[in-house]
Amino acid sequence: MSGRQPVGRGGHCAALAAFTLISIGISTSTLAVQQLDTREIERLLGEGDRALESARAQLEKDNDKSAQRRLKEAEEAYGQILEADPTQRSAAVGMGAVYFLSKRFSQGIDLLEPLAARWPDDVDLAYQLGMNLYREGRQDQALPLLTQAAAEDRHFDAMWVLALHHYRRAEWESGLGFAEHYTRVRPDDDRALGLLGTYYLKVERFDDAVRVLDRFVEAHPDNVAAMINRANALFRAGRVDEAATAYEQLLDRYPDRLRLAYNLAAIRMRQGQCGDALPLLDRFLERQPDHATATYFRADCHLRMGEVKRARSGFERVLVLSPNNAWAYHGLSRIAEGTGQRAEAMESALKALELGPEQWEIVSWVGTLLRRSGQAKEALARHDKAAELAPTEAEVHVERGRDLWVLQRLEDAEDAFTTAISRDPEHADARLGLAAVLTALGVRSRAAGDLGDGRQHLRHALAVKPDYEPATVNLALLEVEAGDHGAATAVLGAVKTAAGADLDAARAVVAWAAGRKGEAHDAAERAIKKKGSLTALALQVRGQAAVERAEWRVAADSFESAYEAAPSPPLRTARAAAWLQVGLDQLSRGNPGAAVTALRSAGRDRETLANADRVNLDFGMAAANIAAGPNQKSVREMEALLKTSAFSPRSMAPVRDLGAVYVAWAELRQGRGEAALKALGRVKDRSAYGEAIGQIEVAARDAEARRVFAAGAPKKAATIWAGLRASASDPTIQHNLAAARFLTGDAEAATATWESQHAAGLPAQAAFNLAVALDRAGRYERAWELFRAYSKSGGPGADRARNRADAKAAVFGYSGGTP
Amino acid sequence: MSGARHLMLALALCAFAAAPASAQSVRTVTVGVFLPNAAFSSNTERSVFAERVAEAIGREAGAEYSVVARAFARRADLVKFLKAKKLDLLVADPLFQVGGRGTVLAHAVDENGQVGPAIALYAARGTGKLEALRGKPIAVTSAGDADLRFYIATLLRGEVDPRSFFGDTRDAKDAGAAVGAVQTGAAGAAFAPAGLAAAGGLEVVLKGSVLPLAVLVGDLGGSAGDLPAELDVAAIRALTLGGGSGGGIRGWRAGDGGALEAARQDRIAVTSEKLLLAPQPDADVAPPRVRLEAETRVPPLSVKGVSLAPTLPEPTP
Repeated sequence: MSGRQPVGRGGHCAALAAFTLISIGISTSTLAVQQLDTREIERLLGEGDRALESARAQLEKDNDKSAQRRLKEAEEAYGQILEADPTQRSAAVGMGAVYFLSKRFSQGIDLLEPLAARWPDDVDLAYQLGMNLYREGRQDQALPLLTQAAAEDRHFDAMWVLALHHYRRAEWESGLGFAEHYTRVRPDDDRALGLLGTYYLKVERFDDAVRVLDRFVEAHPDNVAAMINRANALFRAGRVDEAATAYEQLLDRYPDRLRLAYNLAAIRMRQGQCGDALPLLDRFLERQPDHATATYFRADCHLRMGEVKRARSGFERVLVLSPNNAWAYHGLSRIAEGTGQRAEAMESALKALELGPEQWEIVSWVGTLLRRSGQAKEALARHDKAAELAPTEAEVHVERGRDLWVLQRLEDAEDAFTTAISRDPEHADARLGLAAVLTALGVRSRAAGDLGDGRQHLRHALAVKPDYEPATVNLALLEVEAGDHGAATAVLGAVKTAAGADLDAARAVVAWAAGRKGEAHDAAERAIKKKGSLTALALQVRGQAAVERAEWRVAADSFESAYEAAPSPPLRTARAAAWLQVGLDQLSRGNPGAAVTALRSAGRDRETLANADRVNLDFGMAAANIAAGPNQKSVREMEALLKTSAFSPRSMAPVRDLGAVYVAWAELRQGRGEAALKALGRVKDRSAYGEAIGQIEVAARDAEARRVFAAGAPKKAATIWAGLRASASDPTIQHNLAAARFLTGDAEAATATWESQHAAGLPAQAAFNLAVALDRAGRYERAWELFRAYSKSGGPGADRARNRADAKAAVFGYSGGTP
Repeated sequence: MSGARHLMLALALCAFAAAPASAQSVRTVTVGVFLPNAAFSSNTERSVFAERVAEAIGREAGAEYSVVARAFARRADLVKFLKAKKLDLLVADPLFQVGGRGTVLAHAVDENGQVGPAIALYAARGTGKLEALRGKPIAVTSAGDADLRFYIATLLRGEVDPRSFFGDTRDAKDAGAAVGAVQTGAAGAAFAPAGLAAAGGLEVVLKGSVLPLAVLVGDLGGSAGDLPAELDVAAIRALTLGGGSGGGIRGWRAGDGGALEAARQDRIAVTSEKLLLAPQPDADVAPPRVRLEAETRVPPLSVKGVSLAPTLPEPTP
């Protein structure tokens, strides 16, 4: 291989050395041309090279004539050497260059081909022969020779030729090395940067492309193609906002270049800015209304913006322009799904799949529709296929994860979502899916009693998606179950976002377990108000708090609602116990209706109550029934109950006595005074209920007196009333006793009694009876006043009193005064 | 009077009007007249009134009947005649007829053709209110058994016990006598029909419900035996055509006009008002307020088995 620089580029020493080396082992024929000595050869070579160099300079200056003269001088110099020695390679290389510049490529080939065959490692020979061959159109022969030469930095022309050659053939991988080598060797040749930028764009080295094209555009600010390439490289590099800016600037400079608008629209869509993309697409489509892709983009934008009608007509227009456009069918399928027409959505999706079986988005969409149709297995098969087509797309793995979630293959779903996250760590659905799967696994482990495994899964879920409420709530509940209230509190304390209903329910439980009653109460009330999935739990907290305060009604309502939402044996017991307490409370407060209702509620879960409470329940119900409806039926029920074995023990004597008192009261309320007294006779120990018994006894005798009074026996009535211990102090008895005495002739005493009672205001009937008494005594005006006053009472006989007052006013002419 | 009887009378009226006089034997019909509340100034006037009534009925009854009149000044005499079944028709005060035998065929009306006059309580001028009459004698016409009770029940609305309120009760043979007693000072007050000419100079203390001065009564089973309905019709027509005017009676109408019902009016008198018993207040008597103690305890809060199931909803298309 010769170390001589290419001819005309100042490599004289190297050429000379090569010449010397070649001349050492020459054949006899070679020796025959040693007519020129080395010095002469050296001179001639120098002369030829200078002339060649000068010719190049003249050609660059477009001084063709001068260049031709110089080329002739070079040809003569090289010719003398070659005449003396046709194998003199430096002269041959120089002569090859003369032929190349004179476009006498075949002569150059004829000269150089035998020498290159003889010295195949001579890079200079290969270079010069390659150049002539390439120009002669014999590119298959030229390319290996030029490639051989291009390895040497000095043969950058070969690099350039090769870079251009592969560029034109779009052989990007093949030509990239030459372009890179050339720009390295010729850093000042900024033309090459445009070429290299394109190479980088094509081989998808987008950041490199942007870097190189930045330099090129700086040197060639008017090169639109380079600027477009640069913008495209930015877009492909994922630097979408920069690409948008680049296209905006381009479109500002070249507003008539609609392709720029189209490209910017595509970028706007990528940015999720369909509002900005649509005017650009409208602008583009105004000039090119039949552009199917732009029409599709516009329809897609309309769909994203919820303009379903326009989107549908857009996709339909695409199918007119491009009948086999899979994406248009895909769009129509999305519209149908969005409007609830699943069958139509599936039909369009399958059509899209038929036209674009290798489009992963379409394959994936078919799978998604299958899952939504309840065919998760079939969906998974489609998404598997989509994953094969686009293994790097996170979305495909998310869809697979959803299929597996539906199929309850939680571990596989975990893998799928994990893969999706590896493809796109910011993919929100992927993180949500993985968090959900891990939470489900945690719940499953906890239910199986493996709290450690459950805790691990739930913590993992929170690592994937911090503040994921189901994971937080379940982890807190797990820690409560484990008895670690501190850990539970810490889990909830780590929540940064606003609380949801279930989070509040968990807070209530944890606070209750940790003894923070006030906090528990507040959180429970919030959770109940918001109505989440764990409202039953919050209701239990409210119920427990109410139990502590002995607010049984609140407790009962809470446990009742909690049981309805989430039935469980402990809740059944809780509500039964609370309702029993409510019933006994209401009974003791004299609200029998409410007591009956509450005790009936307790009775639904009778078997959960302690034995003693079952007796309490039965007695309470019988007593409340009597109090609510004192009749023979309720009396019989109580009497029958008291005869059962549960009430026979000596310890039950107080309850039996109480039952008898209730019976007596019921008889009294039915006007059966004698029966009431008989029932009271069954009470063994009167001291426990002495006051009530005394009242019932008096009332019973009073009832008997009323009965005989009404039967027209006022004397007998007077005897009974007079015999009552309460007669001296009870105004009602005094009043009625006066009535009986009035009718038996003691009008004076009766009148005096009613006078004083009327003055005291009680009972009201004293006014009426006093009016009657005074009327009979001829004190008409006073009687009129009393009748008039009593008529305002609205009590029994008020109408009659009004008539009497009116009559007296008419007959006697009374008027005025305040009744 | 029943509807059937009305119909029968109407048919008979037509037949009677068309029947020619016959040569059958004449039946004597006696008409009694007892009107103590009518405004006759003298017994003679009363007798003339009775005669005129009889003549009018006789004219309407035709030649086969001879109608004679019998005027009564005292109730006791009338009662005797009725017991003796000597009367076939009667023109009497409604207060007398209450509870009596026979059927009321017609009733007297006032100058307006209405049932009247009203009952009034007369007293000396300047009396003022009822209270002023307490303890004073009261003059009452004895038209019936319980005239005073009627006046107390209607005019005084039962609000006065006449035995204790008034002094003596003085019976008067007629309304003129009753008001005359007041005018002479023999009585403090008198019940009599309003507008009585004889009451001139007296004051009306109270004026109450109305009552006809007279009713025509038939079907008495008198000496003439069972009389045909035609006779009753003839009697009614005789009175309504002007044969029964006089003594304040200005005309007649068929039927009783509610006269007996009005005369029967009664009220719960002050003496019969019932007393009221005071009810026993309910709140005073109640079963013992005993709180039974329950044993069952509310189980403590447990989270075992409670979890929040994560969900993975399909994204919105």
